[in-house]
Amino acid sequence: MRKMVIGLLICILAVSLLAGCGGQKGDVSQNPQQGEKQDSQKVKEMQVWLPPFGTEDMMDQEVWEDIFKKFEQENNVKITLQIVPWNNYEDKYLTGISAGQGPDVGYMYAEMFPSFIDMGTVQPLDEYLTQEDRENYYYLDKGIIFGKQYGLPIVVGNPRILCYNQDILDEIGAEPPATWEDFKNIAIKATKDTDGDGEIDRYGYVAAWGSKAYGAMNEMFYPWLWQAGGELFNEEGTKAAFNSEAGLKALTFLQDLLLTHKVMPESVIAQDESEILTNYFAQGKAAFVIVDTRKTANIFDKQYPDLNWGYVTSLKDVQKGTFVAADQLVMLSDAPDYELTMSLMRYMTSAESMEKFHKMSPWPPIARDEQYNGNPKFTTLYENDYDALKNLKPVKNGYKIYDYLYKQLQVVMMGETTPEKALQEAEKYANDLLNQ
Amino acid sequence: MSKKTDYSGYVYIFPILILISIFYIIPIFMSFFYSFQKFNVIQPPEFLGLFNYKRLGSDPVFLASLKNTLVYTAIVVPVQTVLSMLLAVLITSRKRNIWTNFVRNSLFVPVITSMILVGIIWRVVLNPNMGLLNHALSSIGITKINWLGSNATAMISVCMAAVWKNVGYFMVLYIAAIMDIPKSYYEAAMVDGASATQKFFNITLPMLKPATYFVVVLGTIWSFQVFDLVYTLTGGGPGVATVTLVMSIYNSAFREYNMGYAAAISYVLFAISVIISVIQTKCLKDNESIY
Repeated sequence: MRKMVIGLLICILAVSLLAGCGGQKGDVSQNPQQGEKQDSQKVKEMQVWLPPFGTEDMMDQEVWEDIFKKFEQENNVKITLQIVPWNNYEDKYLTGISAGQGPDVGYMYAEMFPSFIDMGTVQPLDEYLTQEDRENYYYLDKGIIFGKQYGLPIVVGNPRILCYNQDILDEIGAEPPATWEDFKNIAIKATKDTDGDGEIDRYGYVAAWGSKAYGAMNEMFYPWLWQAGGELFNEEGTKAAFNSEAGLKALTFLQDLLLTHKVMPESVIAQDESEILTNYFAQGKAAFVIVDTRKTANIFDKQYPDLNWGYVTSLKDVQKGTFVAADQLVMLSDAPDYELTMSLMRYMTSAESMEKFHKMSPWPPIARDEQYNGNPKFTTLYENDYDALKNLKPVKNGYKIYDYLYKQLQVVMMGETTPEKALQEAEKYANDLLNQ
Repeated sequence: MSKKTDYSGYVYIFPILILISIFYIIPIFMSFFYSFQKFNVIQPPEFLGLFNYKRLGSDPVFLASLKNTLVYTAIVVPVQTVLSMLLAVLITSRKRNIWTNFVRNSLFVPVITSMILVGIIWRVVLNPNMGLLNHALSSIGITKINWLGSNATAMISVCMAAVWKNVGYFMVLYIAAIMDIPKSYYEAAMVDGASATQKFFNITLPMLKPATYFVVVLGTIWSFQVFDLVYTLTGGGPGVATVTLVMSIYNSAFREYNMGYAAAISYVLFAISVIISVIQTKCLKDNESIY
């Protein structure tokens, strides 16, 4: 009898535990009235996940919710917006999608695409794009990955530009550089002990080689590689191409700037971007830095209004070239209504929506129906230097390849290996992964 | 007379047994299963045999992380064990007053400080130009060291931060253990004319063996699990100088979405932890029970 009672108690506990783990589904099934009410209203629910671009004045949630109001009314939908922080951005997508709770419309950058396409989680858009769309959008080609239109470019901009300190250039009587040779000569002249204490306290160039993430190569390596005429991968994205004459030339040039010409402080190997911007360039202790255009507005103009700075989009060696972000809206395969989801994506990228978004976060227009509302300082950049702006090619195992390349470049900058060895090592690693 | 077994205790442990099984036991076996699969969480797993384990041998980042983790453990565990023991002996040898309380509490502050904050504090301390450490060294004539900017010093820097963070916790354990040593032992030693050093080596140290075993094993396990401190302080760089095993697991799982490979690294870490714990137990335990 006693054993039976104990057995019964164990069963009750087990059932109550499982019920506790059951979650919302159970709750819904126990409340059929609520389900009937929702059905009668026929309000469709949609999820949108976007990263944060807002400033203190205008936060993303507020801006996008205002944009969505019209679409919600016209289409009888309820849009739930989630602003996903940049930290662990990809983790959120992976865990959300795997739990069946991903968005209908998401936002992805180049490195994310291959894995998520491989998993079958991103829906191609080719059949939903109209002729009108194709004529209106400027950058649709940047959303073509592995031969299909997987993304609708929404943020194309924030190019990395070479900023110079006009006061330093005036002091040494130099014009803004156009070539690598100009740049090197000015950087050497600008490197100086200005207070006479026997220590160099002003440098020609600073770059954040202590950054933790490989994304720092957007400023520190890719522009130089492209300017030397090199590429990261072959056209098909199946083979590494950075271990080339151009790659070697670019990396040797960078290593020489630090170790031979000493126009960079040794400590850059341990410093991140915010440290080099605020401790060196913004303080007038460095003549050059490569930085994205948003930071020039958010840091230089807002926090250091007295800083007398100018920019050149790109230096030229064999050609001009610098990095530009090309992030895209995507339709997730789990979205229940592809037509409606595409309508929402089209609405989000319409001139009306983009004008509101660009007031919060000034990017250049992505379609012909919108005027340029960004920083007037960069109008000519998009008009004259468009051909110099390049973005990354999505490749398989991109994270590991870029990360390992960055680690090898850091070792080169520490002087602990040669550019030849580092590029060979990174190339072998990349090709092994690309062939998997 | 036969004794009846009382099974009612099982009722009390049943709920927690279920939870432990779901959240600990089953995942251990599942991750072992996934270590032989290609698995990205979203698509069904695909059997790869020993491929993930074979790949470990040719992955330079994994090999570097294995070496770094072993070096980190070899530096941090002895240093924090000895330092926390000495601090505990020093504090307990003084009469308890406002100053010893202040020192004791100050040493415990890093333990309750968030790891993100520890990373930020140490980045400031180790800053090559304006950092406190270089400032202090320059006052005694030592030239600036680029602590986080070279292969040679980056790992040492991480170890310093880890010891600073952990030493307070282990010191409290040692203080509790020292308090448990009967005073009569020291009184007897004093009657016999033993010096302070003799008392330490012949009474304190042997009596602290159980605590030392605990400190060493726990310190080793923590060291093998090091991630957040390195992530915030160096991100694994420069190059692969401070990348650790748990960082490799994290990157494989949440950057490459390769759960199978991450599981394989986890099992290597698990195997190493077990082997080292067994060796430590054998070395520290002697023949008698330590507890």
